[in-house]
Amino acid sequence: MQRMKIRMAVALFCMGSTVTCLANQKLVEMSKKDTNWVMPTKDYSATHYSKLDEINADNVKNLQVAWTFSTGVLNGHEGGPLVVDGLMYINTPFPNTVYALDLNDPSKIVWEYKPKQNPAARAVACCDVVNRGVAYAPAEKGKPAKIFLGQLDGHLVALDAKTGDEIWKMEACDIRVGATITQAPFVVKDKVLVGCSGAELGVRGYVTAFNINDGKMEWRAFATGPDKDIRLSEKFNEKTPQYGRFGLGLKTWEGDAWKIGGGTNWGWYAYDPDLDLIYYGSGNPAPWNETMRPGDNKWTMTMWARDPDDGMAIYGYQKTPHDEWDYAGVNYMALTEQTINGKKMKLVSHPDRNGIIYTLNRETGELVRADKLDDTVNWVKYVDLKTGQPVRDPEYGTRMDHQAKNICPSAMGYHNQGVDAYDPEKELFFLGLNHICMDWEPFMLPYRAGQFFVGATLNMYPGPKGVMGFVRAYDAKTGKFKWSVPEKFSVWGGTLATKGDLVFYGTLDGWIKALDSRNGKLKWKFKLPSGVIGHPVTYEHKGKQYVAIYYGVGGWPGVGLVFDLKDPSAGLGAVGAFKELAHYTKMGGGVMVFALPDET
Amino acid sequence: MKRIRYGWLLLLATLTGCQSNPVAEAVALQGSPLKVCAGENELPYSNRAGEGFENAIAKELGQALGRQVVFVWWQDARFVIKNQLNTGKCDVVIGVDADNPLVDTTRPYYRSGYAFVTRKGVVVKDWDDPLLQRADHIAFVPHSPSEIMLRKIGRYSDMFFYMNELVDFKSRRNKYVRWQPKRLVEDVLSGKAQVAVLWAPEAARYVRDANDKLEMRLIPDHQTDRRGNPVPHRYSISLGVRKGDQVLMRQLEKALAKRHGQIEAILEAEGIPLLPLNEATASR
Repeated sequence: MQRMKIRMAVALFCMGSTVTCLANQKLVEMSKKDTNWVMPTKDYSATHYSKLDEINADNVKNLQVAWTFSTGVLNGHEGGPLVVDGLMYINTPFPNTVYALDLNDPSKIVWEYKPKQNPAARAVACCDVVNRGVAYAPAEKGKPAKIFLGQLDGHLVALDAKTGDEIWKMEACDIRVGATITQAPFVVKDKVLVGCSGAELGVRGYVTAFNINDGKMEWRAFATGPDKDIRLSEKFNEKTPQYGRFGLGLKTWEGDAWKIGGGTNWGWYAYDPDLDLIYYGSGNPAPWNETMRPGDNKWTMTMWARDPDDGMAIYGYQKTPHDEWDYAGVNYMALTEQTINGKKMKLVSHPDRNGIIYTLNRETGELVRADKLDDTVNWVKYVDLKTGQPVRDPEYGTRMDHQAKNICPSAMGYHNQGVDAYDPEKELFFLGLNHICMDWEPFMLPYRAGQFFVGATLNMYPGPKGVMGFVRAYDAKTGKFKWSVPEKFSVWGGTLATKGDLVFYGTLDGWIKALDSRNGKLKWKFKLPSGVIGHPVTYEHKGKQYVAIYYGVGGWPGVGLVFDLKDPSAGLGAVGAFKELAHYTKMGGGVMVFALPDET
Repeated sequence: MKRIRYGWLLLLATLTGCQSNPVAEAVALQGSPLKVCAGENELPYSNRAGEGFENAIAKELGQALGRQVVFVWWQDARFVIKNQLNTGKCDVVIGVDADNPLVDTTRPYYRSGYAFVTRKGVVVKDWDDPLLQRADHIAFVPHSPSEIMLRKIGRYSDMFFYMNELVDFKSRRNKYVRWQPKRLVEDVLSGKAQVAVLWAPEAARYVRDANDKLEMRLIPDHQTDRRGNPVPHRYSISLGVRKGDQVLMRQLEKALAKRHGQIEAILEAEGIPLLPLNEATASR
């Protein structure tokens, strides 16, 4: 009853004053304009698709550099720039500097924000010191437009979008327990959402909503523990009881292991304004050694749908119960409307680290499809669509008494943190994929005095198809791939699709490429100063279309380059898989912007 | 019978070599050095500077065998047995559990136990001590019996972050991360931790060197986990050789017997509380 009242009050407040809802509505409108790129996912549906077609499959071969900008930071540059009303906002990895450039004269920096951070953050981050982007909230009556930055040391900062002045700063993640921020914050209505990284270190995952104007914490929803902490609504999984309902955040853990159970979310969000639900995924359970945490470990590895006003969960689908591989379930969520089996449905699709692309009815949470991103996925035979359960192959499990060879995908997943594109006209996803497998070898130290288990070594290497990546056009209606293009290295950062029949993406070895989205044919490529782990964006300025992309190799695939690691099993096994990369590219960091030559 | 004869032959050879020609002896020693697998930065066990008590024990054994000791250093403990011992790069590991299944082990040459390290005057006798419920910080090494016990008394989860802090939040996957006993003991000395739970031989010298500010107390060996299974807190330590390396095993057994007194002196000087090797035990 109490809750109902609160919900009513929120609804009335929205309709009455329009102030809180305005930001959201305005952002929806702004994201529709192709002069803008107002959030890392382009729009709330995370289409990563632009209706611009000045650059198209016929003329893309003429694309040339329009301007460039060096960020002065050498680590891996994930994410991409935002473009809002003539300004470009650029984020960098630690030290997390933010730059604003005026598109009328990008040769001069309008403002820059250099946060003072706890240097301990650097040591804590597992896989380079990446940052996946900033978030934008439009101005409201008497309140300036804002840029939100998640700092590696766990602070969320609100900046004046015009001046770069700090408006407020809140601690969202506690660096003292190993929690950092690498995620791009996400603005919904009058709230900004952010999660932490650090499941690796047992950080108990949560998402926090802060008020965009004063930074006041509005709600926090955990991934593990009591239902109250996880914020399960009375309706939770009402329509999908097979996924499990109440009490499981405690019952599926031994003792109080849920307190250090991981399930952090550091990936991407999506939002459906009509259903008024946010979507995101929680990550892997901790500790990574599965023998230490018997049970399903709910609700790690879960696709969530929550009410943004109070954070209450409507449904949750755990994709990988009792994860053994570090298939952190944080990847991006794409919202589409398609007709499957004769039924037009609101869908959410999610290419998971575990090698499966899931499509759910996003109103009800029901599983519609679960397809392998590649036929070499072997930890799971298939996903039972009725129960939602993966049917596993124990040969490819990781246990302390078992040495597992050729597990596909590796801990890096067949899809990692990249944001991919969906072309609503062609009804195709363009997926940037990894193709890396691994051996898992537990080790026990020769000593001492009853130490029972100490760790495991992952060795990662190119998958059976001999390359490390693909770009594929996926049809969620049929589960088929329309085309597939191999890449020597993983396509880590994601793809961009345009109405000009093009798919853009960057490669780890430093190429930006444009494929014909109808058939996958390579139409243009350009070698960037350093490898790419971010995603391209496109925008129109003064009637001209531009494509922008970060270069700056690093992140998990580049840890070997960034930290100068030689041991092939170091860096969570990433060095082995990507040793070859050092022959193709070196560290760097910046933005390159492309356009067609002016007609003369 | 055969064993004894072989031993005599060896001894004779050494003696004759020694008397007849010192240079030849040195050459002979160099020709068959005792290759000891040792961590280059694993104090108090071993380090490159030879400051560890296992460095000293290895030298005693080498002298007893009349063989030059060559330390084959490792930086990463993970695959010492697989990649170094089993491939013949080194031949003996100085300290392993007496029943370590990865290697063949000699008869144990010392026995000790897990201990509570506290500031002088702070007495923690057993795992049910109320101080362990009150303590802000309990320093311990994961994957050791202390972890199982902390889980049992309900302090593991809230010590988890401190446990990670003790290694500056290094992840253990794909990496050998060592909890430095020195740092754990120093945290007790500084007052950050109220108690450290350590394998006594790892803590001994740091307690010894703390100007009488610390005390170390062996934990009674009657512990069980949450399900009632025994959790041994006392262990007998042996030398480990490659599986099937009976020749070296016999030589080492003999050397251990011969240098028993000297080895015990090394362990005692280290401050290690030694237990009788034939101690009746709940577990092993």
